[in-house]
Amino acid sequence: MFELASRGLAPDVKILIDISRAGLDRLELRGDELHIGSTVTLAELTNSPILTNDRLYAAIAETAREISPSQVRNVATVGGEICSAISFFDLPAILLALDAEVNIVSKGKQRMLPLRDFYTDFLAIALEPGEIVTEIVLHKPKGKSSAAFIKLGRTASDFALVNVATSLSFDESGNCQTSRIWLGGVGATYHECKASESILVGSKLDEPTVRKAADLAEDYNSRVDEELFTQRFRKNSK
Amino acid sequence: MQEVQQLKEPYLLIGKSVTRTDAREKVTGAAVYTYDMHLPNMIFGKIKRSTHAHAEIIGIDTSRAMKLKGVRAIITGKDLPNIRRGILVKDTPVLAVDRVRYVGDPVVAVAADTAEIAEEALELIDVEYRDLPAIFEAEEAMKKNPVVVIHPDLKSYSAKYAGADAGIPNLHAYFKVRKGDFDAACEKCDLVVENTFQTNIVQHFQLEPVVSIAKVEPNGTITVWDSTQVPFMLRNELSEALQIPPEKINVIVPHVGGGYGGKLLSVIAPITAALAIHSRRPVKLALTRKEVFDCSCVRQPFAITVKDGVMKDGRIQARKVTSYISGGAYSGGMGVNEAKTSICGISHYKTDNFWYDAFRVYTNRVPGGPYRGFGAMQVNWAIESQMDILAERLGMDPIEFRLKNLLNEGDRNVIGEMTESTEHKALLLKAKEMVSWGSETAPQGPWRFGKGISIGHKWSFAPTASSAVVKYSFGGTLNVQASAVDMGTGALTVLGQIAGEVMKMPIEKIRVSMPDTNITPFSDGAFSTRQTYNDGNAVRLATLDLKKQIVERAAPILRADPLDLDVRNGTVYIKRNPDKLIPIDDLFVKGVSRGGAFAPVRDFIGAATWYQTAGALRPEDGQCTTDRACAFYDVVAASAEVAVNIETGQTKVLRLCLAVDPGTVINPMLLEGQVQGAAFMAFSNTLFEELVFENGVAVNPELADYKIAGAKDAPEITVSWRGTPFPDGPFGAKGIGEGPMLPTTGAITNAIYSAVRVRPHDLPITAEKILMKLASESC
Repeated sequence: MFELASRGLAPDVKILIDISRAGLDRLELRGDELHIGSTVTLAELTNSPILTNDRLYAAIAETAREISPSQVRNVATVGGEICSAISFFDLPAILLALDAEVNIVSKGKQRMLPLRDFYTDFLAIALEPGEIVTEIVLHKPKGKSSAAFIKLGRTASDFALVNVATSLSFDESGNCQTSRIWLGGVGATYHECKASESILVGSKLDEPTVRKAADLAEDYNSRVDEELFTQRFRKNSK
Repeated sequence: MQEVQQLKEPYLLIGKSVTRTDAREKVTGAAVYTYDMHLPNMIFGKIKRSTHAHAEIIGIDTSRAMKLKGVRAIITGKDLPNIRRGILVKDTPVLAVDRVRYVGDPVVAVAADTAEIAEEALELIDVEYRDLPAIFEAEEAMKKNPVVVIHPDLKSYSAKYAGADAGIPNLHAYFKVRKGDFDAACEKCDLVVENTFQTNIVQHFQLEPVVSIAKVEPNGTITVWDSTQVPFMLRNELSEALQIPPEKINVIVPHVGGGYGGKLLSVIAPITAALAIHSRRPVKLALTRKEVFDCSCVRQPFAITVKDGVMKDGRIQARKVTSYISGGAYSGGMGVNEAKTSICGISHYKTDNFWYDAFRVYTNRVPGGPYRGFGAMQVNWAIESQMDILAERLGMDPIEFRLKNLLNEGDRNVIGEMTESTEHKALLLKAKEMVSWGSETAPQGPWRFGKGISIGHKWSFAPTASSAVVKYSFGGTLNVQASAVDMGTGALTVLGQIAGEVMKMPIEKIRVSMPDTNITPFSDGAFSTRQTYNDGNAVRLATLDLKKQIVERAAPILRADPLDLDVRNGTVYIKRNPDKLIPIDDLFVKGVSRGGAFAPVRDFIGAATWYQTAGALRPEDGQCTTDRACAFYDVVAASAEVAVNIETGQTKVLRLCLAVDPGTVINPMLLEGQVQGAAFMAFSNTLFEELVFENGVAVNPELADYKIAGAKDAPEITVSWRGTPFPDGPFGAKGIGEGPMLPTTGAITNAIYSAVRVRPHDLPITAEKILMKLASESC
């Protein structure tokens, strides 16, 4: 807590409430919907058979495993990862690629918000005072689908310098139907590579098409943004 | 691990991988470190530090803090004797008096009932500064008319320093070697190549932070518990800083959680002691991790220029090396000496014409302190990079090129020392074999593979001294008392093995005490790879002294001449008739109270001092006045295989191979640990670590942003050792702590070049640097 405060990440905290036993720790399938509570830990994500046995959602478990070290996974929560709004964090990237929604609850009210609309700036989320994120909700797209996550760090147990999460779904004839490509660590918030996505949609994902999509994603000059990003990080942490 | 060791006799303990004597304590968490300690009535110290890189102190107002409940003492520089401490150059006050010289320079110290209250008190202290221009780069600091002089009174500091006549006001340490005539020789060379290299600022990152506890005893003496590498040196510095006679100060060293050179200077002990004196309570001052990073000491960066003149046949005819060391705001204890000790990073090649100039200048940054490898590591990387560059220019294999220029037995090296062994070539060839040099791996996708090799030798500094006392007690236990510090190296286990070998006793019966300056005899302490050799010799001689007394006492009883007797397993026996023996316990008389026993005339206690001399290096040309300027050389060759990803620039070190010959290996398991530890540390420095400063402020003084390699990054590290007995060492042993730090960086750098033909001249070799060089070279 002290470390967070010294980096300007926890200004003026007057009251701290322990929500670890508030019932927000359930990970379950309700019909077609996957619900992951805010206080579910990353370790639980990596171990949950609901995720690991699912062809699409296994990517969530794999992403959580990339967050090192295991001691962190044992205590870090889904809600914490999402609400930190640190744009190189890993879990939000894969959840964005899976079109996740956040369930926001306040006194007497409740609203669902797509995760893509949840981040407004570096360290900033679309929560009003009195609101809390209770869970993440995911729906499967139609047809066959899969997702993947890669991260590039310096050391093996590092934060990401940059990460990328993708998901794809296919129709019966094997054409790509939907495509999501999200980049983390390249700016104030996560970045969706819309141009690359549209190249893939309708294709059979042959190598030249994938290469073309990848090249378009590179169009985002990450060196410039790393400078900008560093400046904004420091500005925000004063 | 593969080994070749010629041991003269069947040893009981020497050459055996005996379990560390402190293993159980450390693994179960029972070991007590200074950081864990708590004394009754203890209060906590905190330091208010400068937020300015260079400024005059106009005023300090502590009145608000004095009123805070729980504050027990507040001291400033004015409350302390006006003394500066330091080795070679006495430039370091305990607390800044009229000027601060780096962001983090200690200004005010507070002791309070809790650390939180002390922190709060810091906030209530106002310090007014008037800014001075600041210098952050060695280049500016080298000027004859710099923008500011950081230590205007430098010439009046009590120690004389080399380079005082150079007319460079911020220069305070200078080392020079002149052999032959570089300029003249260069003109006759077939090829002249010059390159510049820049090393990174890294931090020691000991698991246990810097910490000190001080207590004023009822009789007015002061006891200090400190996570120090050098108890007697610390005692001296405390004595000097506080103007208290050394015999009134007792330094006790509990377990030490790593040192690496960063606990050689008395970072905070004098402050802690001063707080204890002023508050009249025991005080504990522990640095936070951030303070260890940017307010204790760092490995100072070297800007190194190497200019070589070589002949077509591969002989290096002329070599000129210049090092500019950005030393930080103060001398950093022995950190100031890295200018001189760096020579051993480059003295392993022979050439008739060799010039070296090493300048250490003040800059407004946290002081550069000694760091494992002591300056030699930085320059060795530069030379070993240059060697590969030269080899390529000459069209020679890098190993052949090195073999042509490495020292042979009987050669005098560039500082005039006699070379006594041919380890260099043998170890280089061993490292070559270990990495399967010559067999290449084809590219796999974006990965390119390469191998590199490198070699260095690290000296163990002399003159130094160590004493030891060894006591045999009724019941058959041996107690070794030395002031050797085990900062994770296993030093005390090794001393136990040496004593046990002389007495032929099992290791379970041997205890090695930890340092306590009131009890354990003097030792210079843990630095420069000195303990196995120096403390080991003292222990061996002390145990021989002990054995002599025992044998002389037993002689009349066994009716034999002492020279015909020997000891083993708690008995004295006649060599030619071993069945005739007497238990050593029988030489004791039982005490009246039946609690123990005493030896009738005097206790069985052996004592000895090992004083290691060496020649001095002449100030005018760096040439040694005798055949050896140090205690011994620790030669290490390293080879590496890497894979570099041309899309991301990442380097994976697939394997690191170290070939060493540290003299007789007393404990192979501990040896392997030391070599792997040093190699891993160097590997992490090479690819990841850098403490970044902007205008004197550390940008990343914590683990989230200061990248250290972890277990998952570790390459396979294989160690091959030979144990060629060194005549002056205990059972032929030398030491190994620092050697592997030297060539590892060069091996990895050269391997990267072999993989992608890219050679950064500055560390760390990050993915970004490789990508940028690949991009620029493809244009």
